[in-house]
Amino acid sequence: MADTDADGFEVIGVTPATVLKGGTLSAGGGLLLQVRSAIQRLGDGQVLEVQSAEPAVKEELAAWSRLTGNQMLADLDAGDHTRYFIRKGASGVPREKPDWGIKLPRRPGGRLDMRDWFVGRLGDVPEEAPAYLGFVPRGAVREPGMPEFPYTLNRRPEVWADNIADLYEQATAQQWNASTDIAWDSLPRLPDDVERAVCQVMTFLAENEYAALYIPSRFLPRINAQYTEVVLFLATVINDEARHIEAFTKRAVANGGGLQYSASLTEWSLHSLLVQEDYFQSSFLLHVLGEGTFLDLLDFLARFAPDPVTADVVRRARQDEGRHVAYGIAHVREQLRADPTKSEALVTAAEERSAVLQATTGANPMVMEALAIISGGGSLPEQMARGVEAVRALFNDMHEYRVRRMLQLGLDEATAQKISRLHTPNFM
Amino acid sequence: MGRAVIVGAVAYDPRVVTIWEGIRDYFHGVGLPTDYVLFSNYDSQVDALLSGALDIAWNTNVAYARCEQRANGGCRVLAMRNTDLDFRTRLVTRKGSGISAIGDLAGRRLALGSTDSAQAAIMPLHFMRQSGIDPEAEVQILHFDIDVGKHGDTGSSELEVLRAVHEGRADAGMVGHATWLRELEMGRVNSGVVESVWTSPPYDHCNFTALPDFDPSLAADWADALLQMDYGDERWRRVMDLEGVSRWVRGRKEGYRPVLEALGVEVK
Repeated sequence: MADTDADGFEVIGVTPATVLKGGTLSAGGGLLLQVRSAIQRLGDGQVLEVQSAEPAVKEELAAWSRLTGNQMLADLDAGDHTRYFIRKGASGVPREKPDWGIKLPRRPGGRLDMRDWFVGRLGDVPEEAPAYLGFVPRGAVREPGMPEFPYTLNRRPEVWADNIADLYEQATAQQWNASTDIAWDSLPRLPDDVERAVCQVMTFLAENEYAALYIPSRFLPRINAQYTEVVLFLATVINDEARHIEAFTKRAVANGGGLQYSASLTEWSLHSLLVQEDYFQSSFLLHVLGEGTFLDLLDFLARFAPDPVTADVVRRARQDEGRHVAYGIAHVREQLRADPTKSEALVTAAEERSAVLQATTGANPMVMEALAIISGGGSLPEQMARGVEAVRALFNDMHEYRVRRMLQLGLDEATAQKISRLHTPNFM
Repeated sequence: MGRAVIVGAVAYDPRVVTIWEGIRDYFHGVGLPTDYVLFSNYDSQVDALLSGALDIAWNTNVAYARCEQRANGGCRVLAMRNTDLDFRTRLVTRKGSGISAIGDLAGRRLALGSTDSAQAAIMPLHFMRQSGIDPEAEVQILHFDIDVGKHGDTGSSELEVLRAVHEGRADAGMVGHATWLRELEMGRVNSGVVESVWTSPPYDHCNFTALPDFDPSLAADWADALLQMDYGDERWRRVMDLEGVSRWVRGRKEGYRPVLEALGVEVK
C-alpha cells in the first residue's frame, strides 16, 4: 500500500489516519497533549502523522511513544518541518465515535426543546444501562475501566415515562417564586377562627410536602444517569416541593397566625411512605395515590379559600402537583403494561401501609375541623354544618378520582376500589 | 491446587492496595491462587524474598540488584511492564546555563532525587563517573531525599528536582524520562526556562524477581498467566492503569546490566 501526499512524498506502507500539524509548538507547549488525544481517537494499529518544525520534538516524541506503548515508525525530513509517523499500539479497546454534525431544530421563538434532543447517540435511551456508565452523559464516548456507581435503577421501564420530556419542559416553564410572585401585600385580615383554620391547613400541607421532597430525593441517586430526563424531572419535583414548603410556611406566618398542630397520624403516614424501598411501589403510593389525592384537596382549598392570596398559593401548588401525578401515572402505567402481574405489588403496598396505619386513630381532627371551617366560612353551627357537608363531598371526590386515576393505569375496577379504600386517611 | 503464590510489593501509595487486590482477583480467576504481602520499603521486601517468606517480589531495579547480589546472580526475572524496558534518565537544565552534555556538569549545581532512586540519583552518578566526572568532588549536588526506602517510586523527589531547576536553585537536574514526559505533557514544564539536553543510555526498571529455588514450572505458569492480562478487559484496565502498564512482557536480565554495574554488583 502506498500513499502519496500533497508534498509529493511517498511513504511505503503507511497511511496516516490523521495528520496533526504542530508547527513550532514545543513538546511541553501542548504538542504532546494533542498527540495523546489524537492517538486516543484512533483505532488500534492506525497511524498518526505529526508534522513539526521544532527539532527538540524528535527526542520527546520517540520517548513518549515508547513509554505509552505506541510505535514510532519513521521520521522524514520534509524541508521546513519533519514528519513523524506513530502507530497506535494495541489498546484492546474498540473505539466508538462520538456524534458530530448534530444541530437540533429551533422551535418558534428560538426555543431549544428537550423533546427535540432524541437524535444520534444522545437520543438512544437504552433498555438497560450498566452502572459503570456513572455520570458519563448519555451519548458521550467513555473510556473503559470506570468505577461502578451505586445505582439500583438500571432499567428503562423502572423509571421511564413516555411523557417525561414534555413534563420537564412544562416544569421549567412553570417555575414560580414564593417570595415575589404571590401578592402577600394584598392578604386581608381574616376572622381569627378562619385564620387559625388556614394556618392549621398550611401546617398540614407543609408537613406532607416534606415527604414529597424527601422521597424523590432518596431515589434520585439510585437512578442510572443514562435516564437523564427522569433525573432532571425529579430534580424539578424536589425543587417544586421545596417551594411549596416555603410558600405554605410563609402563608401560615404571613397574617397574624402561625404554624399550628402536627398529628401523629400524619407523621406515621408519611413515615410509612418514606421507608418504602421499591421505586415502583413508592412512585404509585406517592405520585398517584398521595399527590393525586392532594390535587383534590388543593382544588377544594382553591374553591373555598377565604381570600385571593391563599387561593393563589394553593392554585400554583396544584399546577405543580399535576405534573408529579402525570409522571406517576405514566411511569406506573408503563410498568404495568410491560408486566400486568405487577398490579399485585400495588395492592400489597397499599395493604402493608394500611396495616401499619391501623394502629393510629384513623383521622386528623384538627385538619378535618379546619377544612370544615374554611369551606363553611366560619365556625358558627350553621357554618360548621355546611363545612362538614363539603368535607364529606371532598372525601367522596377523592375516592372517585383515585379510582379513576387507577383505571388510567390499567388496573381493573375492583382492584382500584380496593386500593382506594385502603388509602391513608391522611390523604398523603 | 497447591498453596497460593506469595508476592511482595512495596506500598509507596494507598493505591497499591487497589492494584494488588485486582491482581489477586486476576490470578484467582485463572486458577493460580496468589496472595500479596505489602512492605513499607524495598530493603524489608528483599530480606523477605531471601528468607523464603516470599515466592516473588515486585522489585525496582535497585531492589532486584540487591537480590542478585545476595543470590550470586541466580535470580530469575519473571516479567516486567512494557514501560520498564529501556528506561532512561534525562539531564534537564536551565536554558542558557551552558550545559549541553553530562561532561559540562563540573563546577555546576546539580539537583538529584532520593539517594536510592535509580533514575534520579544512582544512574546519574554512574553516568557522570563514566564520562570522567567525579561527582562528589567536582559537582555541587543538591539531593532531595524524599520517601527514602521506596526507591523513587513516589516520584516526589523528581518533582522537587524539576522545581529546583525551574526556580534557579540548581543549574541542572536529573530525572527519569517517565516523570519528565508526564510533566511535559501536562504543561508543567516552562519550556522557556527548562529544557532536556541529554538522554542516558537505556536500563530496565521494575521486575518480578524470584529466587533460583522457586519451582520453575510454577514460575513459568505464573508469568505466562500475567502476560495474558488484557488491557482491553474492563476488569483489569484500572489495575493496569494504576500500575502504569498497558502490556506485561517477559522478563530479561540483560537490561539490568547498567544498574548492577552502577551498584557495583558482580554477577556470574
